[in-house]
Amino acid sequence: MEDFIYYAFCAMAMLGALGVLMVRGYVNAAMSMLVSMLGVAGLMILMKAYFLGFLMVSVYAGAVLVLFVFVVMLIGDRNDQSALWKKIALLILWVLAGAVVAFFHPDLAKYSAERNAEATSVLSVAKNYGYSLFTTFMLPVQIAGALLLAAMIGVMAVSKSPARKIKNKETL
Amino acid sequence: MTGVLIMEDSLAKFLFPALMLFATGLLGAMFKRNLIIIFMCVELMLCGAMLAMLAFASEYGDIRGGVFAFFVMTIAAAEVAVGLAIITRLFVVDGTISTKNMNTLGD
Repeated sequence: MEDFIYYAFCAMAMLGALGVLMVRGYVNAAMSMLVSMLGVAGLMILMKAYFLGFLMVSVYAGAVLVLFVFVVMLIGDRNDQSALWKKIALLILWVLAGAVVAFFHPDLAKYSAERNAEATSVLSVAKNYGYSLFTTFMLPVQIAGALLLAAMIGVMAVSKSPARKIKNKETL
Repeated sequence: MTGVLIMEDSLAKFLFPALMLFATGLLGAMFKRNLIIIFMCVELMLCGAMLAMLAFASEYGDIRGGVFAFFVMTIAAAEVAVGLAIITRLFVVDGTISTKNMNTLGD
């Protein structure tokens, strides 16, 4: 049963990603990215990283994707005019990439001897993330906060209309 | 031979979809002409990286991989906000978001 769930989420993640490359139109691409994100979230939950799986659904599928769809709304959904042979070429490249990844897959089984016995419990408890974030990773958390602030100010600066500024200068 | 390995080894089991997500994103970022699609592909690449980090974290019982996946999520959110603002601005200025016409610096 778990194998079946694993394969289902795997197929969701990978085929959704392929759909982003293949489908026509931005909204369809965003929806197939949603399928991919949900598949990834499912895989995370299979790894018992429940907290990150939940964050994946709420942050990615909730916020990032809505942002994408919002921008598509501003720009207008127009069809991607790429030719059929190009799509087939991309598909062939994708299959080739999969074959290469599967073929040159490193023999990871030999590293599994060092596997931690209580490996599953560490990621599943949200408390561990909090402890780790506010002790070992205190400085990165601060830097991430500064980065988010800088991004916010940058977005405001970029999306400010320059036309109004020029008009103001003329009136001055 | 590798197929059996992917099914049985729990690390490889989750590393394969991660690598495939990354490969798909890379293909799209290289070959697509549309800025929004390219952006989605970059998101897919970040997702693949996150999944790989979590695979190693859950394999070795180390919380650091999970925390780094957390940070990747932060970076992705900031990147999407800034990138989409730039795309919107570019659309207002240029009237198109195809990379075909973006050769101003190349000329």
